[in-house]
Amino acid sequence: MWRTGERDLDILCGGPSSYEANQSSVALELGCGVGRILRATSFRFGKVIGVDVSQEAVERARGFLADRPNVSVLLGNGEDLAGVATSSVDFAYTFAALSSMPVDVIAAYLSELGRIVRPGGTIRLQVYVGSPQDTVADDSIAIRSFAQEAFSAALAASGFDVENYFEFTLPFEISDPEAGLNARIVSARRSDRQTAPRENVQLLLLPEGEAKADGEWPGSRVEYWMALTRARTHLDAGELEPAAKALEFATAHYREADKDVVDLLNEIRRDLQARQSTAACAEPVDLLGKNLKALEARFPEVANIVRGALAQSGDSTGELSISMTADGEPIISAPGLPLDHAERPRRAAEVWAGRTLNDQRFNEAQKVVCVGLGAGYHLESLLERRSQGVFLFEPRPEVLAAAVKIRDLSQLFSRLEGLVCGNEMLARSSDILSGAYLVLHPQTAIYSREGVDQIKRTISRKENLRSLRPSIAVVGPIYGGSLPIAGYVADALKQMGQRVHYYDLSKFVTAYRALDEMVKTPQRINALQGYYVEMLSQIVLEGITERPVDMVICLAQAPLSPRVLSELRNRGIITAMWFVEDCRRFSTWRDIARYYDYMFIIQQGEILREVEAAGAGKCVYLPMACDPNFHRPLEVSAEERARWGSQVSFLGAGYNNRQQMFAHLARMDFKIWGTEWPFGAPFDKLVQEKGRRIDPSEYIKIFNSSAINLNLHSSMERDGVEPFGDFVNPRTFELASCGAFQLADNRLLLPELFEVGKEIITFDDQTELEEKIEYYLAHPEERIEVANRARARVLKDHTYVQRMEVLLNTIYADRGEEIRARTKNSPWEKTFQRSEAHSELNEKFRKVYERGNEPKLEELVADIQLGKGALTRTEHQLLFLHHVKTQISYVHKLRATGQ
Amino acid sequence: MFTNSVRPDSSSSPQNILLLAITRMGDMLQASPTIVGLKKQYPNAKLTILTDREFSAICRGIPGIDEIYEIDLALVCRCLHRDHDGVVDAFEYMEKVVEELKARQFDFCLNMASAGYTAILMKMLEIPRTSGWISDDEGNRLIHSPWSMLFAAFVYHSNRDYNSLNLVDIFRCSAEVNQHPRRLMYTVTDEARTFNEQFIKDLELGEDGPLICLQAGASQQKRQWAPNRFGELCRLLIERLNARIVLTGAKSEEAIASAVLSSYSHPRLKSAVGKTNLAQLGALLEKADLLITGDTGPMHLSVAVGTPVIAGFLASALCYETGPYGPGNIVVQPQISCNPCNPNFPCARPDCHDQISPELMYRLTRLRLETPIGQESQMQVPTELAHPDAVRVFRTDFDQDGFLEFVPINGFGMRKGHPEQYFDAIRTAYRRVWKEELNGAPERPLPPLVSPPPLMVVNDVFSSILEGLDELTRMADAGVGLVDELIRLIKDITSPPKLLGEINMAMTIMDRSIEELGLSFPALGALVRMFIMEKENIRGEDPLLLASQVRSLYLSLRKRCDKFNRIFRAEAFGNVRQNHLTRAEHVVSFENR
Repeated sequence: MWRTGERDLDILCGGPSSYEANQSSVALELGCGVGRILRATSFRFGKVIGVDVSQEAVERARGFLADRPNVSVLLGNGEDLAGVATSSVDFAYTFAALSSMPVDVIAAYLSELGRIVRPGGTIRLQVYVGSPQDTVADDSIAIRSFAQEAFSAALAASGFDVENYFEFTLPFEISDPEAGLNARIVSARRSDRQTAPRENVQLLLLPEGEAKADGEWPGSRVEYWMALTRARTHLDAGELEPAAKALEFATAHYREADKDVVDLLNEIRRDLQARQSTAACAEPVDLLGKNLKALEARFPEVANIVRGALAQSGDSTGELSISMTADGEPIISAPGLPLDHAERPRRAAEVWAGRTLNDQRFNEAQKVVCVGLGAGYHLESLLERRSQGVFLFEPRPEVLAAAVKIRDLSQLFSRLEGLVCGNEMLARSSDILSGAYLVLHPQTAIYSREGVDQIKRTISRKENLRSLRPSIAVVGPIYGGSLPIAGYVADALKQMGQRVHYYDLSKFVTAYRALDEMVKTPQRINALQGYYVEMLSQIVLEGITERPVDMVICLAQAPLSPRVLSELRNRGIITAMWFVEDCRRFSTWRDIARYYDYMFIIQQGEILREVEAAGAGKCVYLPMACDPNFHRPLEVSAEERARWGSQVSFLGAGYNNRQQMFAHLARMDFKIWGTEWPFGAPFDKLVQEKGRRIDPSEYIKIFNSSAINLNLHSSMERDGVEPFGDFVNPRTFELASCGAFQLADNRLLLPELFEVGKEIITFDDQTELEEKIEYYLAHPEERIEVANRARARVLKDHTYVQRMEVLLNTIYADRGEEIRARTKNSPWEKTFQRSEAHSELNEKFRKVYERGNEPKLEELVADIQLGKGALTRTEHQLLFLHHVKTQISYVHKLRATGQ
Repeated sequence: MFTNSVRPDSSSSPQNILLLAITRMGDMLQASPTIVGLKKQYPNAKLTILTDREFSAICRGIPGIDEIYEIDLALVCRCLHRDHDGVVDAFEYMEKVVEELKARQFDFCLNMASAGYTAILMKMLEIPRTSGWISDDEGNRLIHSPWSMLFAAFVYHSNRDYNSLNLVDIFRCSAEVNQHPRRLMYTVTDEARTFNEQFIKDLELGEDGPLICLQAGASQQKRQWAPNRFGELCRLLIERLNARIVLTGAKSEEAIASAVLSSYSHPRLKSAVGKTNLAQLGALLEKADLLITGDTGPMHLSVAVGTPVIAGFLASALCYETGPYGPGNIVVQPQISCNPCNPNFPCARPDCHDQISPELMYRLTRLRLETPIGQESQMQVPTELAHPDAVRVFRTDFDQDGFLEFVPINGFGMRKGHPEQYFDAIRTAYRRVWKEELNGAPERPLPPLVSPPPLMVVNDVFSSILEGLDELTRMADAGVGLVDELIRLIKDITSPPKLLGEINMAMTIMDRSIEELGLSFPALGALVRMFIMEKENIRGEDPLLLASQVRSLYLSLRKRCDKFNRIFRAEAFGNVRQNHLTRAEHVVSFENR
């Protein structure tokens, strides 16, 4: 929210005669809402006043901005700016607020601005100019647009000299020139003139005034967006009713309301209803036999799942309850959440189906998946309107089990094209649903949020991964454990056909390490490291300026400074960090989270919320993985085996718990590889090659040459296995991918990644470790079996490609449309279009695009110069152009330098 | 007016000729004898010139051109600098250009430009017969005609110093033009003459005294004489010769013109800089008695309209290459170890400028004005005025084969530790080798192999080139031996492939040694460079045919070495004694200065 506030303030202060704020000036925002822009304003002006007519918004703004002592937020009365002294303001502005006010209010405010802004002061108002719209006076959502001359005249009457109207852009559509809605910022300066009475101002604005009565209104996309923005503001302020009103406006007046909007509206309505409704109980009707029979006939697998759920719950319905409406309709409720309309479920379902049908995409889709059944009212309404190609996905078997008890759904089952129940079945059946258009049963969207997310991902996954091709920068650290992971990530993205540019900053490590050779004082070293990081950040930023990207994916310890991360965001670049460190041990995420739109971490639970609370846009669990192209079974020669192999091996740094546990294994054929091990006995014998750093390419030789690879997660605090260690380290996946046998210490998150005992063997303490080493050394065939199963599992579930799919899908699910819009506006779109008539040229451009590069002649020629054999006509022509460009630039350079 | 020399072998007469000359104004004028010669040689052929729009104006004054096809390279560059869809715009524009040109169905194309893109354009036009740079299937530059190779060999910076063939003659020969007007050609229109009459009147220079034009600006700063020197020269010309002086140049040269005017002002000195278009400049130069200039476009224009020039060749400019093409001009080439310098680098200390004084330029002007046309061979410059160690002064003339030559008129000095005759002997040797070997002139009897005089100090000076020549000759012989063995192996189907491989390897090593020799003996660089280029140009599938082509290359290298050796020795040792005397005299006169 604050980020867009910064952006919009930049827009307001920019334009052809940009406004330089200063610390002694007073600024006022008219219609400040919850203070989205005010925060940014408070950093640039000495004193800042926000005015809004919503009590709730004002209170929230005061709360949000409690840390900004120079901000005061006033509750307005919609008529004047009574609390603000005459000629006390240097800079007044309004953004996305003025144009939704009735004309008489606008006139009143213009007149008031004339009063409060000092002579010579500036106003910047975001308005719509073009042609006046048919709006009604009490409508606070529709957009008012005025003839530019009329607005200028109104400003002049209010005592302002108009400087200019300038255009601006936002990440979404804001203007609709055909409808006469052109978003502009008007910049004006307060003259010494007297202000005219507001009635006169209003006459100048709209001589005929606004109608009082409601009427037919066609609606435009811009107004739709504006209504959504208002709804968003209300939601931010926690005002459900006005939010619902705005959304209703949007869905009612705009024919192609987005599915998500309709869903959101329904969610809000449901919330409102839930607040009002009281649980009413009624006698469930036993229709089970009939329903199960119908289900068995069409979807035997689902019938089994339902029977399983029924067997588990017996006669009860678990946490779900059954109740009857006043009209005697049975409905299912989760605690505090009815899964259907609590009073009129049929009517609500009708309305919902009607809206859904209005969505063009619904009608065009070959397949439609309704997500969520509730008691079945919604789906019934939908099936009445469309009998072909409708699928149902119910994430929770218990809901389906409850529904089949209370309503006759046999007809419904017979009309469905397909039915998937539960996330496990979804995972198996994702192909049936792929390419389908999703409609959400609104209550399910709340009750089974994860299930809904999963099907959204499942269905949109392939489509988004195929169709969205943002340019992605991957930024790794200068050194350390996450450095190779950055490379694996970049490779995985490339394998997925994404457009990736990898910033490998390890090239700068030598100089970084040299810093503490030159200077010894820790504070000085810190300062120098800070400068160095800043320089590396700038290098990445320059690189990105040269070849723009849509998204930056950083690995933990990537040296990007807050300044550069903020700059990336200002450019609309999506920032994501995969923090592949123990969040509980390394708390650096606390300082950086707020600069990232997405944080992916390797731990689960409360920590996810903590990271979000630290400011990350969204925090998602993303466990480590392996790169099967790199981590693979190797043929090891006898000579290599002698060097790298042993009965038992360990690769990693000498953390305390490892030292303590491994000292006991001194009498085994045990080799330790890695740094930071103590010099004395027994490690002087165990540690190989003087404890040097081992390369990833050497890891895999060790993994492939050792009978048992130990994998003990590090701990600085414990002497043995960390009892509540949660995340699973990369080594676990890498060893598995190499087909190597490992003994790993138990981790809380391990069981959901590997089947313990079958795919991976674990130990909890020293004794168990030693017993298992002895056992598995004696049972090589079992080692091979476990290792094979582990390898099969990681190949199936735990590759970097799969992780990147999750990462991208998470981002695409929220920002897909934005990326699509960016791509559409990128130079590529035009370049592809223009080159369509020249297939070979077009193809060459495509290759450059795939690489994530920019549409430049040099890129096209680079491919030709690398190629072999006879050149095509197109290639000759491109080479010709390249020669012309370089030669003529050279001549110009000579002329310019006067040589 | 036209000279007749050996008519080179050529296939059927071309009917539809394209000349690629996307270069500068001066280059275009330098192509004029070729253009006029082609027209004379093939009166029925249509002659189209392809040129950059920026330089098309000059083409309108060159006689013999039937069509001027303009290509707008500035537009191409603007599109390309836009990137994105601009690349497509440029691509489409060029596609249109290529299609339009191909539709004209040219049967012969001469590429007179050296830029890489012209070679690719040549390739794209798919014209059956070409001369000059062309690109092969893989985008590498190739040259088919030997004269164009020679041009490329002399473009190579370290070889420049040994060349005395003017580019105009090289262009001409690469188009197989042997009948040509012995000067550049430009037609001044009556309209321009009328304009000029009034223009000169308006300048109010006075009625009497010689009308002298002065071109102060040049394409590169380092090739531009200092304004105060020009100012001083103007003072001398006006005070001593009562000259009327008009400064010429393009609008971009206004700065230097006003610097000249601020260092010396006189009612008889006026500026026409930026006030005339190309045709009007032609008329002005035609009207003038003389142009004083550097190596510039107006220098060529002046020659083309028949007005003699006094030209100072500074920095990277080399008179042999681009000197005024026509008889009776005077050029000055500074003698300083770095001259001519590399054209690709700027110079912060152009010491060569100091070698030329305003007094010298004044005296040369007077000499030219006072010498009647046709009696230029009498022009001599005393060494007291222009010491040959500091500056060489030449008059231009044509040799018996119709090639431009530079005749020294201030004696010989020392250069880079060698008597100047050493360099002249090399140039003379090359001149004759190329003229005869590349079919530019009839072969004449060679002089006998002169041995260097015994016990002479100069022996050391000359010995290295003689050693190099001997070694190169031996290598050429060895090459012939290797090819003979190769041919024998190819013909003998029982010969093991390993042997063939070994012979090939030996030839590769031999060619590498030849290339290295060319670098070790700079004076032999051009001989070696030509050999390499000719070798690179060999194409074909049949191994025997390939081998026989290679054999003939080694043989011709052998022959060229021998010819070069004889001519060089005759030139060098015939003059050695005289050189020594002159050298002694020079020392004396230098100390007396």
